[in-house]
Amino acid sequence: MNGQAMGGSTVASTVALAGAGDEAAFARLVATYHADMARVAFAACGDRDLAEDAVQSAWLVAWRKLRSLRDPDSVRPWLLAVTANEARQLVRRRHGPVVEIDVGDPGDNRNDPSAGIERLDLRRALAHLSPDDRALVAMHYVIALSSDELGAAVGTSPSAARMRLSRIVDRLRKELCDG
Amino acid sequence: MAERDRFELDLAAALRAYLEEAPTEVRPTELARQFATAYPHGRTTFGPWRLVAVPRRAWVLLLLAGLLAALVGGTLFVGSQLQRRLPVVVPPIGQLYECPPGSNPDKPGPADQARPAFFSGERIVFDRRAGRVVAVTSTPDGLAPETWTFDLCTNTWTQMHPDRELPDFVMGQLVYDVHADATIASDGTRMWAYDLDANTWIQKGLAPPGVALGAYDPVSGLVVAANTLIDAIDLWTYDVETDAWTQIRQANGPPCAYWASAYDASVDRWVTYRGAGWGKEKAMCLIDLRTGAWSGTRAVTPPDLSTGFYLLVPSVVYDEATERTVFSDGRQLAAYDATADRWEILAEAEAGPVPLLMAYDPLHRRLVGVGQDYGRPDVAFDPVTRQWMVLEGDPVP
Repeated sequence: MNGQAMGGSTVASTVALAGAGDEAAFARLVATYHADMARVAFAACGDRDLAEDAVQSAWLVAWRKLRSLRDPDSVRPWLLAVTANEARQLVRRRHGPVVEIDVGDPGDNRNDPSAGIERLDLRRALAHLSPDDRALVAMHYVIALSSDELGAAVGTSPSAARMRLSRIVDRLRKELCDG
Repeated sequence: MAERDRFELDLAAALRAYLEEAPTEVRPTELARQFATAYPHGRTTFGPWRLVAVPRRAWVLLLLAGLLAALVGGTLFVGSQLQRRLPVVVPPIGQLYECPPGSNPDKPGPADQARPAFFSGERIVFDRRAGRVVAVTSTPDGLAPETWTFDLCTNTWTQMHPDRELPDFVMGQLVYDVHADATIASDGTRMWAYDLDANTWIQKGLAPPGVALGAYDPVSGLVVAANTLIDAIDLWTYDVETDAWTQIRQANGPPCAYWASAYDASVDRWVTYRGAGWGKEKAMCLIDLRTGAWSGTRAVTPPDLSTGFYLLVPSVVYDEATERTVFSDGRQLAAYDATADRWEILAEAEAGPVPLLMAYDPLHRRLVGVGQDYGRPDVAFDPVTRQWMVLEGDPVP
């Protein structure tokens, strides 16, 4: 993300302005990153309403704590990490120690014919993962974070993040291919 | 990343289709306006540490005085090599509370007692004079901080209900100041002091931007803090009684950045650690606060301590029993012996309830960990026998 442009400004300068309370700069961040944050939150929560609350909470944390961000160019993984954390907290408050996501109506057949994995099967498999692991899978396969960004978001080295992801994928593979 | 196989391609496609249901709609300008109105960023100036305008002639005099001080300091400088017992005498770390006769600290507290909610971002410290852990947690909805204490003689939680709670504690820090007998809190912007006897949070001045509290230094009787926003660590001491910040002179560089720290009395050093990520390798450094001299470590690479999303820093305490700095990230408990420059893994989550939040209990010379993820029980860990003990709540699964 180094030196990337954002509406005529660099990411770093936008983050600096937003951290100082500049509404327009903050709005630019929202416009740029909200959709990815919503996807991560939805992956973690498995529920639209909870995901909306999680993203709202994440933006509030961002508004108050953006100035404490160590590396402004890492704002994307930071925002996604904050979102995943807020989502995890909401899931925990709502469901307690047992984490479940809505696996939908058994009659739900909105499957993408081009995909080899059915939506209902995917939901069932994701329901067996923790919210953190679901968020990590989304960050990698949908948001396409790099190894460095993934490590930054999870708070580990890139290789440790890759190993964790590999274990999660092995679980999903077992569940979806063998189950 | 390695090239994806057929399954991963299918998984990515299925995930993308599934996440089309995510609530991605937003009105950025309205959201920004809403936050700006509810939580205005009002801070532009700072407290007692602010630099004042100095005339040019005074700058020259200051520069000459600085050069003279550097010459004298260089003459007196004794190096930063660690020694098993330092010539300086580290004073005992404060007067210690004693449990009432007949109390049994090994007996678990009531399982059905009211206890704080732990989600993330909470902090605990041990108040040596009161014999209680002070915890800043959050309300069950996660929106506001709450103050609790945990009595280590009876293993019972008490919600303190002070006159006013901290207004904000997202990513805040706590340090117990032995000299002032107060728990010092920073909410990232403002300083606070908690007087447990009076059950009162006292509002102090503003913290320098980006400065996070580190540890109590028993030699100076001050709290050490550092600016973690920049790679070249900006070090400060905080005197809660005068509410004054003073910058610590650093004799050498470059220091390593840090996330978590503790004061190690066995070598009279401030030990700092940062995990990997954000383009940096994990690293550990020590600083002699008397000379400002940093030293590195030749120890095998420190363990990969990480607390997961949101960059929650590992919990760090100085274990007075084994004279080591102990780190916990909720998955592993690792000790660093500064005199031997050696790491050791004490426990791993697969074999025991490694807590994320930890304090050192000098009354019983053990570590205390309080519940974090998914109803983990409150536990004690004896670093000598390496035995876990449940203090409160449900038995260890």
